[in-house]
This record gives sequence, C-alpha cells and structure tokens, in this order.
Amino acid sequence: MKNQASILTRRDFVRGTASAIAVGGTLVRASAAPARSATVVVVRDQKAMTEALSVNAAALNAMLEETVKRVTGAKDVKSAWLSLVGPKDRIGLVPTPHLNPTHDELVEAVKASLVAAGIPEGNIVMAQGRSASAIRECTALISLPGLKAHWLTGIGTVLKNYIMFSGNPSAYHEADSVKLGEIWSRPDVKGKTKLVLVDALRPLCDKGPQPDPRYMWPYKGLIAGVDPVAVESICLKIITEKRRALRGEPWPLSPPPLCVKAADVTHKLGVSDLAQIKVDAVGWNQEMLL
Amino acid sequence: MSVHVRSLVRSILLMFVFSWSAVQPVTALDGVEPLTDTSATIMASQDGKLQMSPIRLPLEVLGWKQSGTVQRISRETIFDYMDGAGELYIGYRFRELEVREYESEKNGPILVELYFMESPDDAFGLLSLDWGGEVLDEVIGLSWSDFRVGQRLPTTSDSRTSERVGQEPASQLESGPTVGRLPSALFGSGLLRMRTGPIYVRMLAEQDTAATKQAITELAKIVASGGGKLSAPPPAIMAALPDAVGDYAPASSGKAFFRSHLVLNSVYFLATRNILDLGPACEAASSEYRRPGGGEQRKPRLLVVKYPTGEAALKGGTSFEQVYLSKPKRASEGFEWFEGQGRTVEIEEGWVGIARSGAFLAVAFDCPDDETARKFLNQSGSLITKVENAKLEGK
Repeated sequence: MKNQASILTRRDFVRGTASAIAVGGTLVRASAAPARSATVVVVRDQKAMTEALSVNAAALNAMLEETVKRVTGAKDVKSAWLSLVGPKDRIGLVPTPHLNPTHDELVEAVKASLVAAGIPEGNIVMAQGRSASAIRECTALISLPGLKAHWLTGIGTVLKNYIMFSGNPSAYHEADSVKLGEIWSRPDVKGKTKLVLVDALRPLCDKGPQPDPRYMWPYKGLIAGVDPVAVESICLKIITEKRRALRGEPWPLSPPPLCVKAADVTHKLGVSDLAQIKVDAVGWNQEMLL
Repeated sequence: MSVHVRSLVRSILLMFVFSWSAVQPVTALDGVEPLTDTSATIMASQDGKLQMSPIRLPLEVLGWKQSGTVQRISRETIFDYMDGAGELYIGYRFRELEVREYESEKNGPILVELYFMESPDDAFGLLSLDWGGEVLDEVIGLSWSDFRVGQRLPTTSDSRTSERVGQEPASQLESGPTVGRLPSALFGSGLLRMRTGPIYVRMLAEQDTAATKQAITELAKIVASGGGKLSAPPPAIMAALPDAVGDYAPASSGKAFFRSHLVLNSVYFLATRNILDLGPACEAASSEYRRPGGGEQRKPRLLVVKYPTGEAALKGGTSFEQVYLSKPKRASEGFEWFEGQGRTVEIEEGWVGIARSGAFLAVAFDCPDDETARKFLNQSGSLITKVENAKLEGK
C-alpha cells in the first residue's frame, strides 16, 4: 500500500474537511481567497428531444445560439463565436467519444455554427483522443462532454474529458483521478479552451459511464461557460439534485468527486464554490435541479 | 474449435468450460442461411464427462436482425471498448466479452453484451450492485428461490445433483444459513441485467417498448439455456450478512458482493487507497441497514470479508485499523469474537466495530452506539460460523 499520507478517507469528509482536498500526499485546505466569480449558462428547451429521444435539430441549433450569445454577452451568434475564436485559429472540438457520447447533432451544430461565423471548415478538427502533437497544433479547443456520473470519479464530465490529452490516462485512474485538473495545465492544453459546452440533453446520474437508461433522463439542456470548474460544479449540482429526487433523500455520489474541488484549490483552474458561481438559466424551467 | 477448460468452482464435481466457437458469418452459405451464431460454450462436467451446452444466438429475433460481426473483447482490450468502465469488470475477474448488435428499422437497435467471468460469484457480484428493476426470472426460466449455503442444485444434464459451496446430504440442508430471495434477471427502461452460470448479461434497447422487451426476453431465454438456466447460489459470504439485527434490516439497495476496493468505494466510499487490502482472491459482502420508518441519523453498514488466508486477513485488518481507526474519540475494551478478537471505537461517524477470526474480517460502520456495533459483529460472526460449518459438513 502507498504511504498513508496520500490517503483521504471517509473520516476526513465527516470531520468537516470536505472543503479540503488531498493532492500530492497532503490535505490542502481551501484558504481564504479573494472573492472570485464565474458565470455558467444553462439553456433548455422542452422540444430539444422527441418522445422517442431523437434530437430536434432546429431546437438544438436555437439553444446553441442562445448559449454562445449568453456566455459571451454578444448580440449575435457570429460576434459571439468570433469573440471566442478567430478565422486563423485551428480549432479542436473535443466531444465524449463513447459510453453516453456527446450527441452527433450537437457536434455538427457547433461545427456548422463556427463555419457560418466565418471559421474555415478546414480549420476545425476533431481533437478527442488525438496525439500530443495534434493537440499542439490546435490554437483553440472547444470541450463538448456529455453530462454523466462516473463510478470511479463521481462525475465524469468536464475535467475527465481531457484525460486522453495526458498521454497516460492510467495515471489519472482510481485515487489519482483527483489530479485530473492538472491535465488542463499541460503546455499543449493550457489556456486553449475557449468554451466548455456540456451536452445535457439526456444525462446519466448513476452507474456511468456505461449507459443505464434507468438513471438517464431528458434534461434537454446545454450547460456552458469559459470556466471549466464552474461548469463542472453546476453539472455536479444537477446530478446531485436528480439523485436526491430519485431517492427522495440525499443520495451522495460514491466515490465523492474529489477532482472538482482539487481543480479549484490545487490546480487553480476555476471556481468550484457554488456561492461564487452565477447561473444564467433560460428556457424550459421544469425540474431545473439548480 | 479450441476448448479452454476452466474450473469455476471449488468442487471438482462441477466445472464450466468455455469453448470459443467460430462465429458463423451473417451470409448465406451454399444457399442455406445460417439461423444462429454460436457463442462461448459452457459444458458441465459430471464425473469427468463434459457436456456441451452452446449458446446459439439467432441471427434474427422477432424482426431484429443481427448486424455486423461479433466483437470479442479481452482483458487487454476492454479499456478500448469501455474506457473508464473496464475496471469494474476486471475487479470481478473478467475473462472475455462478446458484443452483438441487433437492428430493427422500426424499433431501433438492441445491444447484447455477454460478459464471461471467472465464476458464477463474479457474475452475481455485478448484478448485486443494483437490485432495482422488474424481476424476469420466471419469464426467462431461471430459478428464483431462497438459497441455502450448502444447497444442492439440480443440473441440466441429468437428475443428479451438484453443489456450490457444500455437499451435505439433503437432510442436512437446514444447517446452512439462507442468503435470501435474490433475483437473477432484472429489467428496467429497456435494459436487462442477468446472470446465468458465470455469465453476466447486459441487453440494452435504444427504445423502451413492449416489442423490444419481448425481443430481449427471447434472447435472454437462449442465453439462460446456454448457461444451464442455473442461477448458481450466491457466494457463501452473502449468508454472513444478517437479514435482521434487532429492528434493523438491509436497506432497499440490498446486499452487494465484490472483491475490489474500487467497487467498495462505489458502494460505500471508504478511502482513496485500498486500505483493506482487498483483491481478486477476496470475497466481500456489504449492506446498509435501516430501521422501519427510517429517519435515523445513523445507518449502520456491515462489511464482511473473507481473505484467502488468515495472514491476509490480519494484514488487511491491521492496515484498516492503522489508517481508519487512529485517534478515536473513545475505544472500548477488546472482546473475544468467536476464534478471534474484536473491538469497537467511536469516531466522527458514530461507532465502528471491527473483528477478525481466521480468514474473516467483519466491520460494522456508522453504528449509533457501542452496543449496536457489537450486535452487528456478533450476529455476523454467528452466521460466518454456520457458513463454515455447513461447508465442512459437506466435505
């Protein structure tokens, strides 16, 4: 067994150290930090999916446009995209490839919207699972994960979406998943993510990543922002509330999603404190779970 | 055809053998359309005689047609197939996975996954992680009964009996504790989860309709036949979890069987590292317990582990005590626990009791008081003794 210093136990959470996180063998408490803030946009449309759970492309396109406008504050879609990326950028799209994959319709909608905004189609590449050199060539990344709980990491959405960029995914498995945030600080990745856009059309709140339809529901939403930790934290909130609704009592994720707080406290990747995150929600407001 | 003979139970009387047959291509052959493909074959061995029981999955079922080729996934390639989920199956001694897809223009695809595990215990463990859903055992033709440790099961090959964890005569069956009524096939929202022999089955329909359920049921019947329709009794360790401790009863989430600390953490997060030193050679069972009406602050959880040796149990128990039970608020005097020792301590999350005897380790978490922790340990210890006695009587 590895040394005890690197172990975080259930007792640590019960002791009230849930705001602390174990990274690099020590418990790091969240210190009093300057006030920060982040905004996460949640756009939903009841018509985004049919009864048979097919995607309504028109509704999805409208949701996408609303989302990028709200994230950027731009008045039109073209201006919104061009405030995030430019025509000379080589843009890598990073969807979740399998096991509750990102809907193809969303990936295609993003691509089409970028092209319509003036981004040359040849400058848009699918970057998921690509080699380090391929990622190096990208000057901008748009992360497109699917929203899901994960049996090994609690949640397996935003932070985990870049695990293949590490070149050594097994180094981020099991207890080491707490370090997932550091991948975002790798030289080939750091600072390139211009938008995190989560496919929350039909999330999975338990037993992920393998699909289990008993725990999937048509949330019919997109969740987006430029702060990956803030977006992940709102995703976590939605998953947590859905689990509570299913059981009629708190049903905590197990194992707890340690990587989210660590991405904030240790890797300084963004804001995880819900009190510091403003949610800009619009559209269908039934069972928002926020 | 290559045949791999693998002993899947401790007894020499019952063996399952996997035989990987070449899958017939989905094409006409000399004008004859093949009606089935052949999956891994299971053979039951009685007195050294192997009996074939191949799973012949149809190329077409109720309007669905098998599409593409059968994917065979090994331990080495499982992470390519399901990155992030492979550890779950590896943790249950996964051997091989077969994946088929059936297509219907009208009703959408059905994904059929057959996970061939090292033993029926492992298939049971995967199912035990979620007991929710509609029980389809009778519809599919699987047995569904209260299992008793040491119970003999009828084989499909003849009228003789084979056993799972003991061989005592029928007259002695009452000596073994029961494991309770546990289903073998569960269906919900278009997903079937089933165990038959050493096979764990997942069948997932994209659309949840009466038609897809019927097609899945038909396919499940065929797989169950190949598995001998034998829902082997649950692992003996499951009998060490009492059905009641005072007015506490197992929570609706039910009793889980596992070997891996990763699976334990998905059931009950304990620590980011393997502080109990669990592994493939361990057998562990756990359940949360609740009182009628609920609302209590403390929901005790009992964990019982059988290690491969007493030394391994000592190592696991010592590691757990050092990491998890250090600096308790209060600690009771140690006490004798069957052939070993136990103790209770109060920590932040109530009282924890730990006891070890031989290769067994029992831990009662989240108890409201010292007395409750001891009750859980003692009742479990009593059941462990019965389990061991039932097995010894059978030898």
